[in-house]
Amino acid sequence: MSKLFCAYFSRLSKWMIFRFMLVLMLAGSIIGGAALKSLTGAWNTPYMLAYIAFPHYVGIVIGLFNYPLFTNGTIRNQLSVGHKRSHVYIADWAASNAFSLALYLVFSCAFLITFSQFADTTGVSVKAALSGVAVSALQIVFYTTVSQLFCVVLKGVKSFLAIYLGNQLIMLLGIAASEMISEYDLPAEMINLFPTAVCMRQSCFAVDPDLTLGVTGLVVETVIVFLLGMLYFRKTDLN
Amino acid sequence: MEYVLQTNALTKYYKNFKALDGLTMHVPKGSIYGFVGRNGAGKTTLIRMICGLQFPTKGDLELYGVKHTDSAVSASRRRIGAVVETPALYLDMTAEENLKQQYRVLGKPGYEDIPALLKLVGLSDTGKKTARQFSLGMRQRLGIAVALCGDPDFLVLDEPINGLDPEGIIEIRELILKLNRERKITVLISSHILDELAKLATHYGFIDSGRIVREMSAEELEAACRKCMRLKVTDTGVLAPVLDEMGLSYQIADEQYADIYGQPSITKLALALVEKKCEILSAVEHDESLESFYISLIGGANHE
Repeated sequence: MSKLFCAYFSRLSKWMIFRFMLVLMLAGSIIGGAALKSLTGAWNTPYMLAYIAFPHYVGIVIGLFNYPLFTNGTIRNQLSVGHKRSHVYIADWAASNAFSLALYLVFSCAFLITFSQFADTTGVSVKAALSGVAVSALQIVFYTTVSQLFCVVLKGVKSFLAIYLGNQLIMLLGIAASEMISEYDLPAEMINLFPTAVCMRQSCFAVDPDLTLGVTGLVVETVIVFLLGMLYFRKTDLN
Repeated sequence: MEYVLQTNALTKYYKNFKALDGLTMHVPKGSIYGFVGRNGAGKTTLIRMICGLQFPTKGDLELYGVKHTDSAVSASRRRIGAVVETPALYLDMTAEENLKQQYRVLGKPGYEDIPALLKLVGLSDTGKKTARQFSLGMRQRLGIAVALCGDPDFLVLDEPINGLDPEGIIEIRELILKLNRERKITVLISSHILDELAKLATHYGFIDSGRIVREMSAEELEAACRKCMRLKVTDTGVLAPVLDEMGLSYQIADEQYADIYGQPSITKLALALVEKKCEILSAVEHDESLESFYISLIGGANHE
């Protein structure tokens, strides 16, 4: 499997789109951090973008990364030389996550550092900021795993469409659940079933009290989607 | 005979469609095995199974004596290089980068063999051109180069000359012959272009509707397609020693029919047979092309 990891990560590191996105994220976060200095609420930008924009963003980049593998069929070059399907899936998952996490972490860390140089830091907790970034990163892993599943099940433009609509649906369900739980007096623990809703409770000012349960929910859901994807990939016929 | 690939009653269903119907075939080591069949006959399905991309519904597939259900088949597959349908390439990479990527997939320690590999397939001067800018023939050759990265001793090529211009076809043919002769690589090549296969193959497997209709060597096929006189006589038992005396090569089909090769003198033959009380009932010139032989095989299979 180490050979596959080497191949996938090497491809990622040399991929022009990845390099371009990293620069874009870095530039965007620094400019954004400096521009929003007068807005105290802007401290939560990395978390807000993590649940509003990144599911789509991640979907597009994972779709682009996996397109040559599943649609152009370069995965055949790996399977036909004896690599196990599970190993191929794990290596692809790891590289896809490295891609999306690198983009998110560069964005959020650069934003928080830049913003802290200009904005009022009163009431801001470093612990809360870091835990927020960590939980948001977990959510990115979840969306990456879902996007990879769509890439395996569907090919070409269909996979892009499915990623977009699928991630959008999961995100909207989370937002709707968050609203409904408070409005209809439903058990608060239910929130932990929805990745986006968990992420919505992060802020730079305080650590979410239900962090453990929310994180557990996110991890369990990610593992379930990952296993479903791998099971499908191992059993399905490829062209 | 040692076989690189053997299948036994291999069956594959796609929902209700039977793509392979108890296919049994044998690819001898060192051969160029021409896998002949029309579109939709099941050629690509079998090749996908060999490469581990699809699973048989029933039956067995053995690679180097290892069954497909055995976990050791992964090690056998490491000895294979394959181009299935269109070459699987990273279109945003150059030829060299594509090969480097495959070297990493294979875990090869260095890239020093890459220039020789590019030279072998005639792509050494492509520079910074990405695979996206390559012609179909160049992509096909790069696909073969990717397949050769692991120094395979079994190369599987699915319709490698499809869509190529005449020059491209000659280049691919020369390359395949070179690999087989110089590197002793066994080649399984699927095609429906019979004339082209005839210039390469040492063995043939004719497939129709998911079944191998017939397997034969190039010599057997040549004999079957050879120009001959098909004689119908009262007793081929009498005919055979007469033909031996005349020094003619022949093949007895049954008690009445025989194929005589070369250009025999009918008068001399008729006189010699009259002496032995054997009568010639009919004499028909028989000249079967590879295509008509294939059609007769497939037609025969369809009428069973």
